Amino acid sequence: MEKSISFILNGKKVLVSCNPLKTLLKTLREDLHHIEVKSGCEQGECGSCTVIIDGKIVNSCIFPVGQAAGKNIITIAGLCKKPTLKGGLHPLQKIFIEEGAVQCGFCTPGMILAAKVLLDRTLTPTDEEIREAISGNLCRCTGYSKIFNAVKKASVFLRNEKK
Amino acid sequence: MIYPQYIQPVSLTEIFRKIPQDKKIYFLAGGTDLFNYLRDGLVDAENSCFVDITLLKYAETNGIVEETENIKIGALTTFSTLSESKLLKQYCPDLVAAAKVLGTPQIANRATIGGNIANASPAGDALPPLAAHFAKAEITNSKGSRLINISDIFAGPKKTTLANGEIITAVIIPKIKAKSGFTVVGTFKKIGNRKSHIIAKASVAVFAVVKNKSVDYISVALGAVGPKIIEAKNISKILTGKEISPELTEKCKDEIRKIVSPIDDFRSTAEYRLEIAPILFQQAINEIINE
Repeated sequence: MEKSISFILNGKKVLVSCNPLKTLLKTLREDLHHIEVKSGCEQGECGSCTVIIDGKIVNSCIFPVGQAAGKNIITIAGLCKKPTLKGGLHPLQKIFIEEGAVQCGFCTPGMILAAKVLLDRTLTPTDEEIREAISGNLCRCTGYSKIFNAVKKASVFLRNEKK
Repeated sequence: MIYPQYIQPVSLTEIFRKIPQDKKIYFLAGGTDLFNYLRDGLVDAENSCFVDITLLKYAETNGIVEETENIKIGALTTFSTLSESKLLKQYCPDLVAAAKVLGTPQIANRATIGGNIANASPAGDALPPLAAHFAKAEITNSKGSRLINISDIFAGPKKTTLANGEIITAVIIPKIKAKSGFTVVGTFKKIGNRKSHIIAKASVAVFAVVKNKSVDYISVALGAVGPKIIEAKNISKILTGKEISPELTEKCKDEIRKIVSPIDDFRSTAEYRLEIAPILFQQAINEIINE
């Protein structure tokens, strides 16, 4: 049973036709070719498929696309204004690169989106709040220290930018 | 992949008009458990219907409301919302504590209190606090609604006593007020493998009304140490009207060792669960008397 489902993806209205119980992850990757959304455990554990839906992070691997209708969805590609230019990157993306908070890169899209939701809420997060915010995203390379430092540095950068 | 039938009603009336009579009905909210069952082939897709209830009217199934005698929580309320509720912090601090440690932020944004009950896992985090509060679930079918004690919903691990097509619409928690000089306290302790995403090997909810170490009221329930949530009723008898002391705490821990019936499974062993459950209780008691 296919159904037409439309939602806002990175600021643009998109329309897909698929079974509403197909996962949002598969729909984004297979139907809409948004392969920046990573497919990891596919059971809601690792956070690599994280997207922001109406301001909240969710695991797209256990999200039925039928529930995406009318929603506003942001992937990592939606953070940068001009993806081809380094200048177009979101401060979080730039600072992750500067701090070497990326090794294999597989967790990075989800990690940055989790951090973004935190920094949208507060630009003065405590260390505990940073750890909590990215606790749903597993990284098997970095040991988290550099990721933690990058989020902290981004909070300072965004705070100063706001002044 | 074969998918189950899917419908997305916008009201309770529409649910009962539209659900197919010849299929197994699964109500789909956050999907955090259900999607894993679907992927793992535990759902007979051809003979099942997923009824997506996330478009139901807010007033019918969502939000946390204070009534004269009770707190009413809509079944679609997510654990993120529960963990931030000032009303629940006041009346059910143990439920708030459980909501905060339910799972990753991504899971807590999606998982609902109704789903936690319907899934009927002995390790479900909301269940020990709800049992400790003697909460009731509002069950709705085409004829109307009725209230069932939380503990009477569970038929066993992952099994409920609800009929096919009956839906949990709300959770009703009786308010317990502290008498003058006393404070409502409560907490939830669990142990597992990954801090942000623990599925409990054992868990304990403690809800109490205390003044320093003096106990006016206490209720304790244990998770993941038996086929269902276990209410530790004798602990209320041991501690009510008394001062919490190391001796009485030991007596309670003995009582816990007596009433649990843990098993070996993929998550832990019976031996470990028997060892750890009283210790979690001890931690919870230490926390509430130091608040």
